[in-house]
Amino acid sequence: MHGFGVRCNMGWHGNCEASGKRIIPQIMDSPQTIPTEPVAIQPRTLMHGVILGSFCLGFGLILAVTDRLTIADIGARAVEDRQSSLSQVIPDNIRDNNPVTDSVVMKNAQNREITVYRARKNGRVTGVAYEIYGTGYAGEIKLMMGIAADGKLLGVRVLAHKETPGLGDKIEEKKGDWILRFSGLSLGDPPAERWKVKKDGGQFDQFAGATITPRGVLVAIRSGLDFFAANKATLTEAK
Amino acid sequence: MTSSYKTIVKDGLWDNNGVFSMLLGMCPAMAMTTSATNGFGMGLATAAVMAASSFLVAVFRKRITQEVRIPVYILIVAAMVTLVDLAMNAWMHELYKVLGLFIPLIVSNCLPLARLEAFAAKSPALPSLADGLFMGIGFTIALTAIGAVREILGSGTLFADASLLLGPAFKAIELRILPADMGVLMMILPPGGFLVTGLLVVVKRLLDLRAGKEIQMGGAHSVA
Repeated sequence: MHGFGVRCNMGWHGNCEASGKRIIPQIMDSPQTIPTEPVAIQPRTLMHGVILGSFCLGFGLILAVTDRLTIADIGARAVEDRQSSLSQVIPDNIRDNNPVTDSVVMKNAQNREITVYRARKNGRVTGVAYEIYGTGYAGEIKLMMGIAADGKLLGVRVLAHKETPGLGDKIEEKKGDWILRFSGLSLGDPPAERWKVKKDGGQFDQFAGATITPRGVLVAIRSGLDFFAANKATLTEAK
Repeated sequence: MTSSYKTIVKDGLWDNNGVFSMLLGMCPAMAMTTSATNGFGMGLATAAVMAASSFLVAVFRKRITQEVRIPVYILIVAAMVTLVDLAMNAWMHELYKVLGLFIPLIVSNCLPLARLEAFAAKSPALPSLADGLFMGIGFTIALTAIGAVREILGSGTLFADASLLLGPAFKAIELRILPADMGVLMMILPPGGFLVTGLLVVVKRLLDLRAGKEIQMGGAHSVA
């Protein structure tokens, strides 16, 4: 009698031959009793849960403790990093405060929140620095730009980019001096139509084999200068 | 499984090398090897995680049942990676700035998992620690070798920025082999990773053949 009266515990394991015998399922290393009644949580199953759960709990605790131990140091390192990138675009001689702790959050023209760091001397704002963004060949280029209260660029540095190594990465300070040429320039100097790479009729060099990267950087700097012009009063007002 | 320490060391460094014999951990082996320094740093971080997780799995091997072993292994590897990540960020920050991006990727490397399954799950704690460590060092050697070939051909340098990773004393090993504009850009882009890895696997097998050894074809044991 095929398949009649035979209870098949592991029906998906193969054919249940109607041999009259119960087929013993081959569960890995657990040749214990076969449940005659289905749907009952096995003690063994429960044990797996307990084992996995206790490992999760144990390692979770270890990670929580490590997090508590390192959180202060990691925070301090992040502030140091910020300080060192700010100190490249805000010269020491125009400030007597710490710009990292004197910041204000504003929205740029793309409605993106940016943090503006202010350099002060004797309480007066002498310059500001903030992040600007451009679109490069392989994604976003993030830069830090410093600008003096009179609208002249103090400096621009690349913070993060994904440009092609050997071509587009010449925008980094350690790979070339291209990024250094912007200091002292401003929105009207050179005039707006010359704020482009030479290929587009502007006055800035592109790189051999990479035009999109410097173009993206120039767009970012232009947008940063426009942001300063539009918010000059708010940015430089001493509070 | 009982293996003498000599076998463990030889397996890890050459005979059963994670990259060149078992062809495991291919993702970091190709993605992180744009320079010898990057490969070396990635290898060291992986070795630390492998040694720690092999040791832990071996210690707990009698408690971990067959059915839940894989989630437990992944949990242990992930916890070790997070520990290394946090500790390096806090206390070795310069190194972290170079390697930080790569460290979370160790979780997705199947070499640690393969060694847990193939060795640590069946062996006492100390041999497992040694296995994890030497497999990790073998991985470091492989990544440094791939990185060195790609860097020489692609950028013309060798061990550039090593002083960022290892300290100012290592400024001396930063070499320029070829003039700056001689580099073949493709070698530091993804295709170069495939080419160099493949060629080095061939070189390793030719050397083994010449030494009269049997070639282990993807001897990754039962783990993919």
